[in-house]
Amino acid sequence: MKSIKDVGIVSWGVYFPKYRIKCSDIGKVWGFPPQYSDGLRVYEKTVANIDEDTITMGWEAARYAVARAKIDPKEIEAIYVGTESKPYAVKPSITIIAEALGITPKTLGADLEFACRAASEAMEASIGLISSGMIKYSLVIGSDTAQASPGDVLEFTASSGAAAFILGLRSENIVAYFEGSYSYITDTPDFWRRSLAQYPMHGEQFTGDPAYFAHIISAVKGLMEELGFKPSDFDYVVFHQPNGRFPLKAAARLGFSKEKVLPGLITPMIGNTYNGSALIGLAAVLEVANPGQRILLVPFGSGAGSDAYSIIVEEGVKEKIHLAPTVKELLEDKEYVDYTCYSKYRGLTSKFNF
Amino acid sequence: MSKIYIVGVGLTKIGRFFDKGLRELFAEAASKALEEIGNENVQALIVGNMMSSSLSEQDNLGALLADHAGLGKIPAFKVEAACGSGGAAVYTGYSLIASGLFDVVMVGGVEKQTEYPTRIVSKALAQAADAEYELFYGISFTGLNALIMRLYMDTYNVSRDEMSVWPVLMHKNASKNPYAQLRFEVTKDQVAKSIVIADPIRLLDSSPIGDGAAALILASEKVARKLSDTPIEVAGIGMATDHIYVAYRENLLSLEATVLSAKGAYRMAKIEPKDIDVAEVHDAFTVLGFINMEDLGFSERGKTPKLMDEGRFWPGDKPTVNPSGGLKARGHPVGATGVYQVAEVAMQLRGDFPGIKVEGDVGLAQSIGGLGTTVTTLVLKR
Amino acid sequence: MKISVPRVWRELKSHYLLEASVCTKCGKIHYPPRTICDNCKNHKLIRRKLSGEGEVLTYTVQYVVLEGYREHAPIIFAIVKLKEGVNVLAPLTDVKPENVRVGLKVTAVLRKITEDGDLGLIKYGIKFKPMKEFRNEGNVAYESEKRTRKNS
Repeated sequence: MKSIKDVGIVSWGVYFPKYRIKCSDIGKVWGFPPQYSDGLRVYEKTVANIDEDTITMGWEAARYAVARAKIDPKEIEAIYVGTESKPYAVKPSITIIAEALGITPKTLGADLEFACRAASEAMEASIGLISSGMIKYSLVIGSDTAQASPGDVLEFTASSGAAAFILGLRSENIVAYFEGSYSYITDTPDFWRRSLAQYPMHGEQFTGDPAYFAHIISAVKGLMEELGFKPSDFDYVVFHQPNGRFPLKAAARLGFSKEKVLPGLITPMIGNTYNGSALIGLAAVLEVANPGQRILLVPFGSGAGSDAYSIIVEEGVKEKIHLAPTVKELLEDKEYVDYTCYSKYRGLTSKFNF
Repeated sequence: MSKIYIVGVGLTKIGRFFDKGLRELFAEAASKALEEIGNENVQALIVGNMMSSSLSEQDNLGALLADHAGLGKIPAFKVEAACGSGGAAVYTGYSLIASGLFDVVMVGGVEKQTEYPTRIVSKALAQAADAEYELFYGISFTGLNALIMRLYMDTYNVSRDEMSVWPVLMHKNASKNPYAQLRFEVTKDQVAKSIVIADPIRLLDSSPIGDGAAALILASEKVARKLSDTPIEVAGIGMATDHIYVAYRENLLSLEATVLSAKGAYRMAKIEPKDIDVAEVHDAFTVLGFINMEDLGFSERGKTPKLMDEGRFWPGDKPTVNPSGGLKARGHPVGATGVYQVAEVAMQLRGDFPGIKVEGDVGLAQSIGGLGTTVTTLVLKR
Repeated sequence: MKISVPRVWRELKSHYLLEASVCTKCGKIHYPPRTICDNCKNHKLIRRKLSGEGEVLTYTVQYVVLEGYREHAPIIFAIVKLKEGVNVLAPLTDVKPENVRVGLKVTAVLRKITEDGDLGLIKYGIKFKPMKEFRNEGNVAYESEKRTRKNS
């Protein structure tokens, strides 16, 4: 898909909690084989504080995006959050975020759901809205406090974090622009959570080939075919990163070198932040990429679908990096918690409302 | 203006009375006060109480208590100013007589706190703060006072042990008071090692949760001598309020409402702080005791802990502070406390307080609601 | 229902955005917002968002908490002096009690304050967290991963 007018990324903002639990601690509690999580190439994951949720983290990421945007926040005319961990099952999260950013009331807004890909859908929709001239700027947030049943292998990776991007027409103020994108969705039930269930279920190995790999590879191949690119045309590759292994495997199958993936592979240090996952990776790449370089961004959501985007880095990127915390800075600001504290913070213990 | 007198007092012991409710507690105190005036009729009842609504699901308290204390179908209503409800009730009762509407008014105070666990009582107490901007965040009353205690200690460079002299003296005084809730002595070491409630406030810096009731009978000059041989004059009375949102205040180490209410009471009584022989001051927490001593004009800013450590304000000194044991150790039945304080000072001046006795003619009682938000100060004379 | 719906709604801007009232006559800033200026009695006040940046003036670590707050305990409360000279009371978050001190520079963030059981409203508001001075250059992920791996 190509927009009529070029749409760009005006700014980015990332937030993930400072608390971390070592995956080896989780493995010990539930009696997994030693070094089990090393096989997933995930070593630590973020733990949201007791007072954090999708809304507060989404707000903080958005605040940093606003700080880097150098625009009047009132000109943001659409604001979306993609999440699968809504604090309210019914009641938009986005209205709270928008109100707390001071950009209500004249704006479009919604919470989107498509597992880990919802924020990417918001990105596609925003590109359309901006390119058509309907709105000036859109704020797209991916935020999740990912749930996993204690003892499930998913618990090694399900973590908390958020990323936000402000999109607008290509101009001098943007940091990158979209050359085109390709979306690919099918009904593939690899991962789900029923409406009143506390934790999701998944098809374990079924989440791999028929789901993650099939959709990502198809989207990337579709994009390259439509735009006439080959793997060597891309300088960086950012896939959805449910663990540290899948993105490298997908890259290998598509013919991308490991070196193109590693700068945007953040999951090994923070876990899978679901809707934040690929987008935090993109932010990390923007913080190191040079103008003119081409980034392949490929979010994926279970159920299942994937979008592949080709993004060109623009001159404006360098001066915006330090207007808000960088991914690297957030990675280094950390404090470990033990499993007991983690289970309190994540609400894994049942208690009276004292 | 003609003078107004205290002609009768009645107190219950303060404690955890699981077997008594608001009506039983108050009837006991009211009966004792009425006995002192030969069971003559009172014309109106004013009750100081904070939490009957939140902890006992009881509003319309005036009617309930007038009825159960056997006072007849007289005008009766509750006055609420958080922990300062008692002082505010006395202020109201005084005004009713000063206005000429009545000659004999009973001012009562009652609080029933022990109906629920601490977390619920603490929540009810914290409603004394700004509900929308302080209680909103879950700060307790102890928490608010702890903010002030840290500032006091930092500003004046006062150590933990120096602060502890307050609870030590209060417990010592209370150990002789038959009405007191905490009738045991403590050491500085015990204070420093007691559990932390809201750092730096420890358990032994805090007044206890307890139930109690007190009653006073106020009378006009016209009838006072007919009702009592030892009437005590309310020579001065002052009341003031302050910003409820504590952070809004310019000076966090002085309670302006205390300064203003005391100024009013001193002016009316034509006395100065140095004339006062005995004072019952508000010390729900250690730090408030010290700040109040300074705001009432008994001591210089930041110097009270040191002075008290050197023996100032102990029994025998002028003024003697809180011979009852204060809120800290006599106890703090919230809305009744202000009435206790006035009754205790009246008893001191009459010479029949059953605990530590103070010789003298002039006494002071200071009742605070919130963190110095509503303050009533009274000067009593023999 | 323990959290009032109209109240949470009515107070949104002062709690989410630290919106204060400012006197159009004498310029005094009031937080919480007022309807009448306490300095000059002026009724014409406008609303302005405060910076949310300031330093700790005094603080407490509250261990005995009110009904509904046990999971947040101990709660650190502070009076924060904002850049505008306005004092605000709020909890501190993302900081250990032993790392709090008077003078600590802090910044306001949106956090969950409490919730009304499993069914009622979630109350959001500002808390303060330590301000960080970040200035790191270089590649993000690659070195970090090596270090993290070594550490695990």
